[in-house]
Amino acid sequence: MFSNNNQISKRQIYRLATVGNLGQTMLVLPKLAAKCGMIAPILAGILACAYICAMNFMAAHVNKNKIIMAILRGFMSVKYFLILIVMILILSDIVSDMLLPGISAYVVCGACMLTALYVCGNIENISRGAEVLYYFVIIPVLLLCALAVSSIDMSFYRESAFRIFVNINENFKNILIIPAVVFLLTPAELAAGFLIETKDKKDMPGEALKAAGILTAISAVVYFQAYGILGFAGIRAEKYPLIGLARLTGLPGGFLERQDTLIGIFLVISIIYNMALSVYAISESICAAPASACAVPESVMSEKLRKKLKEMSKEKSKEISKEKSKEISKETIKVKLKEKVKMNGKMKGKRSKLIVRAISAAAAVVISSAIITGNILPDFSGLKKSVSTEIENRNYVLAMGIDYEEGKYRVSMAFADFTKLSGEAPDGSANNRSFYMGESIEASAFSSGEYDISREYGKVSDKIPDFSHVKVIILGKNLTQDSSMTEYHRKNVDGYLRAMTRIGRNTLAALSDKTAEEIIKCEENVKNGAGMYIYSMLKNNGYKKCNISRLTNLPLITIADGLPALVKYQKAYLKT
Amino acid sequence: MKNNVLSKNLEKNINTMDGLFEDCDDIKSRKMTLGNKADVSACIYYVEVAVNNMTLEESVIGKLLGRLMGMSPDGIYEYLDANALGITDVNMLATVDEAVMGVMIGDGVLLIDGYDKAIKIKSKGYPMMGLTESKTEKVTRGSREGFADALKSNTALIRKRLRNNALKVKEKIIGYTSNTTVAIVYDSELVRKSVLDEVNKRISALNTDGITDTGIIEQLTEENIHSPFPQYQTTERPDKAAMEILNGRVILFVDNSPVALILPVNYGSFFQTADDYYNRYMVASMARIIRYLAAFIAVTLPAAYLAVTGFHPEILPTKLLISIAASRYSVPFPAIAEVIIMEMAFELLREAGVRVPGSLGGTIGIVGGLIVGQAAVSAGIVSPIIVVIVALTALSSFAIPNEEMAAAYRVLKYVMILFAWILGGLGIIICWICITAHLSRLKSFNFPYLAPVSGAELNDMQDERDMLVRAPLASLRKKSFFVRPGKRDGRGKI
Repeated sequence: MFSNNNQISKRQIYRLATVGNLGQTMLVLPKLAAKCGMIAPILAGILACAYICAMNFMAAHVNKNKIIMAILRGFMSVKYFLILIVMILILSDIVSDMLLPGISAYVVCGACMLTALYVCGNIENISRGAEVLYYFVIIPVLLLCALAVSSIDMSFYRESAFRIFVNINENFKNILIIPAVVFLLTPAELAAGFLIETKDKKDMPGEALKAAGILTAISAVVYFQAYGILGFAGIRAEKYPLIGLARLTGLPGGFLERQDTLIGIFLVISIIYNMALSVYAISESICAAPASACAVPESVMSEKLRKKLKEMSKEKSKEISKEKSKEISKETIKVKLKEKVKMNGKMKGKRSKLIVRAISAAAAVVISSAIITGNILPDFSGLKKSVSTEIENRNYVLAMGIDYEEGKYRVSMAFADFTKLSGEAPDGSANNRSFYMGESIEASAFSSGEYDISREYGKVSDKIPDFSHVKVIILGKNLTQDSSMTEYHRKNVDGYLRAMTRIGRNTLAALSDKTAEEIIKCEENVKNGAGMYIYSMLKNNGYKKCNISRLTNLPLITIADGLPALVKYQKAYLKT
Repeated sequence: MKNNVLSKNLEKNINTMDGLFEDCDDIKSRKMTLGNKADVSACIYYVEVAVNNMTLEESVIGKLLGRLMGMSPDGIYEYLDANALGITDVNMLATVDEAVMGVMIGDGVLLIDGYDKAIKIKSKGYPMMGLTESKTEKVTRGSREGFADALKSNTALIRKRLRNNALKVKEKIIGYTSNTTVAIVYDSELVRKSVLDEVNKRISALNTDGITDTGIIEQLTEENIHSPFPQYQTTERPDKAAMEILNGRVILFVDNSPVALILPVNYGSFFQTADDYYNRYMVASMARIIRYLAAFIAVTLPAAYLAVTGFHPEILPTKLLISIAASRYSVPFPAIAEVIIMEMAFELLREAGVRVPGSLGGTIGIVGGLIVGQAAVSAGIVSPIIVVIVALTALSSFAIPNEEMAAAYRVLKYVMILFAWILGGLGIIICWICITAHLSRLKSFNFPYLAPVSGAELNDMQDERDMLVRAPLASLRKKSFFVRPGKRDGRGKI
């Protein structure tokens, strides 16, 4: 029942396929394919199923043909090598983009590769781990889908109707990406039994088809929600629509401020498992061959084995009568010879598999260790700045104002004042944190995002600005005064805010009948800071959905008695 | 067990009884001769400890035997038929089943040659044996008995709960110098033969001078000696041990040790307590979820603190973030040093609390928790939030029912802290993946450590019903997957 025979169950293949594919299905496929409409995931699902069936057919009918099998195994090696490369690229991208901006991609990939190699024992071990981690991968995604429902703009579905299913405005060459992605990301060979020994091969494709169906269903739900929440423009702008959804969707009750990082972390599990699976598949497809193909010809048989077989035949022949002994011994020799040859072939196959895996593991360990050591040691010695910044060494921007003056944009920032919020005694830099603005920031801010602001801010502060807790964005009056420039400003502001990936997409936005800088300056009169004050004011007055993801129908804010005040709901301002 | 009638032939009866009590080293038989000419053979069966030699001499059994010694054979039969002793403590048993049951409940059963009935003679039964409650496995509901140092008492405590001749107690002498008795206790109908063979093989292969505790057997026979995770479960509770025998598992006792080893194990078994099955299923399920959560917190919370504050502050609600940042203003150390200082302080307190004499242990906790923690915060060495983090971690670690599992997580916590410090949330995930991969490789007597969540051919979802949560007992139709195939159905889980 629990024998260590490198065989896995139906449930295990289903969960392995789901864990191995959920990450990239959610991350990779949407970027290009989702622009084509709901047809993308559906087509991908159909193609995946067709691919599984085709591989299964081949496994059943061509497994005795050495040449075809050799070609197939070569194809698998290349395919899984490509998957491995793609996984490493996705991993380094998602880590540098979201999880650990600034950290060396070599360190991350090295650490993850080592993890994947540790995971990659035999297929039983991989699938046991996948069975447990299945819940850690699928539950957050399903939870996110459930939470995202409240953010859907139903009018988008009514307006877009057919475009949601097939986006006729898009260039259809994008749809070509789908077969490529399906080819890359479907480990159908596992289900077909090419690489995994299974007890009941007939049931395996069924489980793989089940996994493909579930993945298709989940991705279809994610895309459907993404259209309703992000819109076509939003999806096009998002690198990873699922992460975009997470950045927009808040957890009820305010237990967590943002959940995109968490979702990303959980999807990393899937990527690492796919890396492990790829390493396993490569070593299997290179070394494993059908028993017949593994057979060692008599000419290359070891002398020891030949002698042993002769001895066996002699012993056998003694037991049987002299008349029959000649015939039987010949037959016995043939049978035993075949068995031994087969065994020898299998042993050699196993041995070479182990050797390849050991060599690749050793190489990966050496390279990864060298990379990690080379990148981390300087951190310890103080030669290089670590990406980790102590929580008290950041200045949290709670409100941002954007103005347009004399042909230039100007960004104002109101920081969290620990003195006001926590009652702690202010330290030397407390006075500088109230707000910051300056000519040099605006110019650089629109060129390459938050890091330029950080650099400029670093010149006048001992801390770095942190934009992950921006509560509200105020757009100054100058952005709307000239109606001919409105769309231009909207695009610029939208592009700027998208480039600042640390800012949540559910951050509230408001217009001002004064300059944004003036609103931000009210910071001095507000107990909890302008950001928190305006955020609470908007939230309590029903403007919770007026956020930067659309920049439409924004409320108008003014100053009354030195405090920010809500004037009216300015409809359809800054239309998309 | 067949419902067969006792024979007048003593040898036949003895053969039947010996067959039924095969491998039951705790059940003793004493052959004797009765009658004035010592020409009537007899044999008495009894559970050692429950009816010890001293009791035999002094109790009803002793008196009865003394009386029968001076009679003729016919006189003995007449005397027994008439129950001439006139006491209710002596009963006649007509069948082998009744005789076996008589022994199981702790009485002596006398078989006499030429007499087709067994005489059940009441003894004191299973005595309390001066047993004390287990201090490491306390329960809110259930037996207060705990194992003692004496192996015989411990096997009797199991026998007291499982009154069936299928319960086998095999004793072996291990240790060139110590000659320690090791008892292997199991249910012969439920245990898998492969497991039993492997246990016997490993115990027999022990090459040691002395066994002074079960911990030595555990370390000498486990499969992965470098794993931080325990590969044997321990218990000091007889009811827990009895329940595990019903789950097809094997119990190992070592003389002079109150700790029994349970094998094989799976990950989930370390989070189950005896009273899980005594309380209502909702209460038990809630408790189990809390324990799993506690394990997660015990290993992850300090690392998560470092990852969130150092790498991913966007996760925290704004007010909490500002509160934490403000509290760290006056702390001179980086967060990693703060965490290590407080965790090490806690380890010192724990170690000191264990070593100091009884009543002082609590004092150490109060001194450590309140005074040192408060003083460290006041002195600006650590922030208040880290005291909360370490306290929660410590509480969670104590909520894990098995000390060995809690210790494994305590060790892994430091590895995770290191990874979280270097790679933030990614480091934590890498650690968890490695832990899962390691657990997926671990095996206990050929059972996957992660079973039943992970295991081939466990697709009926019956075992998962008693894992993270415990379904109502009535709906647990199958016995545990540890039980021999073919014996899982029909009798319910317990």
